[in-house]
Amino acid sequence: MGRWRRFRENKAKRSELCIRERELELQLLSAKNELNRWRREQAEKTNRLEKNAQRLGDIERRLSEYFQGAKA
Amino acid sequence: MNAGNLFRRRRRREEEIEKLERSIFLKEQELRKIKYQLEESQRRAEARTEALEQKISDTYIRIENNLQEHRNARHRLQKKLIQGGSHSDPDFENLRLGERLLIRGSITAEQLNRALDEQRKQGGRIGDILVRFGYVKREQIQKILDQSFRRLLLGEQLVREGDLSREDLEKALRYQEKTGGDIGEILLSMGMITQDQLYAALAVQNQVGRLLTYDKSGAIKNKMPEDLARKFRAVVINRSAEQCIVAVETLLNSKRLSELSHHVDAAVVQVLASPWEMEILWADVYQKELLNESTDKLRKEQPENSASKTFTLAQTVFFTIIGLVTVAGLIWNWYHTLIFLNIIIQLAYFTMSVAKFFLILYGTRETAQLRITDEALSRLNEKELPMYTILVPMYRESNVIPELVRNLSKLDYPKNKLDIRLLIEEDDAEAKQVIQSMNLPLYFHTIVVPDGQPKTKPKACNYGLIRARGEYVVIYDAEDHPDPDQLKKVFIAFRKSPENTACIQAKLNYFNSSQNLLTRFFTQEYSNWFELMLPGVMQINIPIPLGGTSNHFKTDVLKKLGAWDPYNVTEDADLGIRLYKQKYTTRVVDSRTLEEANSRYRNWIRQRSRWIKGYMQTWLVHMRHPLKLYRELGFKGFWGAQFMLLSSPLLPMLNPIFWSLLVLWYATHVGWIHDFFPGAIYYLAAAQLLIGNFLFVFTNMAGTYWVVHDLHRKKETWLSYGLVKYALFTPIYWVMMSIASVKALWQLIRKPFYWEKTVHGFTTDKADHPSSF
Repeated sequence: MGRWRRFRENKAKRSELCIRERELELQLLSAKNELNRWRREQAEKTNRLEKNAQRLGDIERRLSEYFQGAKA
Repeated sequence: MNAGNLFRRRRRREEEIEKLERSIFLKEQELRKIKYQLEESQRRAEARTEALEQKISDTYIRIENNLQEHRNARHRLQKKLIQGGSHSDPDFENLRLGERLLIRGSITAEQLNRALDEQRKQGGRIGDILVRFGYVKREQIQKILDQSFRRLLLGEQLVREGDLSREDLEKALRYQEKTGGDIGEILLSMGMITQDQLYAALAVQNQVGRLLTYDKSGAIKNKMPEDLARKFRAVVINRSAEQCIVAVETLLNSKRLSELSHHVDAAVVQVLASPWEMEILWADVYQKELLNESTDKLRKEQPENSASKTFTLAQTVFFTIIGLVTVAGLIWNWYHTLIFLNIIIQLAYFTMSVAKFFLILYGTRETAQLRITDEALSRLNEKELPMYTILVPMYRESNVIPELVRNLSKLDYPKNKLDIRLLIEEDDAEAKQVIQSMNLPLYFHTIVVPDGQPKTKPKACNYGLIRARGEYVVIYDAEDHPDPDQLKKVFIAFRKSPENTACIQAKLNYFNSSQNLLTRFFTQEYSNWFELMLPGVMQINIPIPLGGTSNHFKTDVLKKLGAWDPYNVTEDADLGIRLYKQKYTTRVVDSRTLEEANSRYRNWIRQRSRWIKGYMQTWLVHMRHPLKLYRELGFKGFWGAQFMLLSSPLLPMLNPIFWSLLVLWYATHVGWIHDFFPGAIYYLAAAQLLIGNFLFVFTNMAGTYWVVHDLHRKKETWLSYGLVKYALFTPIYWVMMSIASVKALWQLIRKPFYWEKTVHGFTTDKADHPSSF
């Protein structure tokens, strides 16, 4: 009887652990997705700001060049 | 069961639990690490964002100060504008519309930046954006708009926007020189720009809007008929009485535009969409039509070729009559009836054995396969290569997706000419999540196949085929490892073959042959089938039942034929017959795709019973009108099709009867067994027992030896000669086939369209894997 009880306990524990493992796998996948999504969004945001800064720098330079030409 | 066994089993269970606990611990740790990474990145990003915003704000101030300092110059400019035109002023010519407006004081630097940002994201004209934002009036900019502006080349436009470096552009142009194709596609495939950057640049370059900015709520209400939409590759997203806004992937030229205007009876305004956006839009607007086409096209257009009905009335009557005649015969004189049946069976056995042997002999000819040499490959001009579509249907196979992406990325084919379509079922949430978590190269497209019956692989393939862009199309399973040069070889093979060659089949084999006895048997069977049988079939030109994957088609022919039958569970074998009916030929190319052999017994039975059921279905479909089929296929084709389709289900079903008789005879020597094999029948059966069985085992050996020898010649070592000896145990495999065939017959009657899913990803030994070599 003891052996049978132990078998059933082990079986129950194993199935509980399997479920927990699966849950964790999904949590992990969703956390990775979240991290990737956030990184992507952040990279886009930073990229946009960098582009803005670069573009404004270009405009500033081109205006200066134009005004210098106009002065000359 | 003895105590030792019990102990070992307990120990194994405990080890499993320990393993699970360890895995849970590691996963929890990883989860914590990811959460920490997220928080840490957020902290760092905030600081970086703040610094950039400060830098931008400082630049605004400096620009405004600069404008203030140069009031006189601005005054002179105003005069020039009033006089109209400034073409003689090269400095002014270099300024862009926004800068000219800035100098005039019509807008601020911040407003210009916002408008440029919007243009960068969505495309369209800067003037329109400034007007839309309410920063300027249209009249204010009209004069400036009239001045000439240079239209930049796409690459230059991207460099100017800062999306692409000059070095990368030059690298891409060199690649374009070698392979041909659009520069945009090349930049995408090389990962140098994103899809958004490309389409924003294209929209700016062509002065059109981007789909993203437009209201799509009227798309379903105002949709055009699907065939018209497909003809123009355009979807109406909104319309009024005068104008109709359509989303397009490629801008229509003026002729096509006026043609479309005529159809929709309004002026057409185009907005640009990326292929991915278009795919989603198409699926939203035309979901019903796409689903209908993928499930019902063949059934409606060629009902005689559709397996949606398993038995016709005539077939039911025919089989009932045959059954009744047999029963009547047994009642009338059971002994002679059984002898008569035995004679038919023995003749069938004999014919099939002889036919198989000759097919294999033909298959050993050097010309039986299309062999493409390394020289031919190296001479190939990549500019000539067409767009190639790869369809990968999958269901609940998310575990093999990363490997699949790696394998397909290894294909030696210009990536800008690849259109890889991962076909995911709507309810396969896990696959969707895995794909989302991966940063897939841009030539991979994920197509979600809407739920609906029948839920089969051919239906998914049909769905993916509808908007395929390739001149050729191939199917790979999710666990496939095609030879990297396979697509190029097939392209050359098509060029070398007659015009009526519509399909080229690559050879399939297994990478995990050494996993267990079952995978060894399976490898031997495939080696025999794809290395000798199919090339033999190709030689004598009879219908080829295609393999499930790695069959390459001419897309237009495939579409013309009605593509795959979604109701047939071996749609590949059925398509082989339909190709032959339409006088197209199929050839076998000397290139391999490695798959994962089924390593589990039940899984194998599920797969095999589906295959056998499919062969029965295909036979029933094409034998609805035997005389018509005979006229369509001719003598050789007709009997070839009978052999190819009937041998798989019939032999395994008959085998157990004769094995039982053999065992019973040796065990009991009962006289009635002897009586069933009178005269010549006895010799025929004895020859079949000795020579026939020998031939079947021998052909498996020969097939395996053939492929191992070929591999060793090419210095590949993923199969060894050691595998050949396992052919001696082939009868065990035959028993399994018999079990599968009985199940198949039962399912054909009970659940003819049920697709028994084969589970993949059971390979345990990583050393089996060819990529590890």
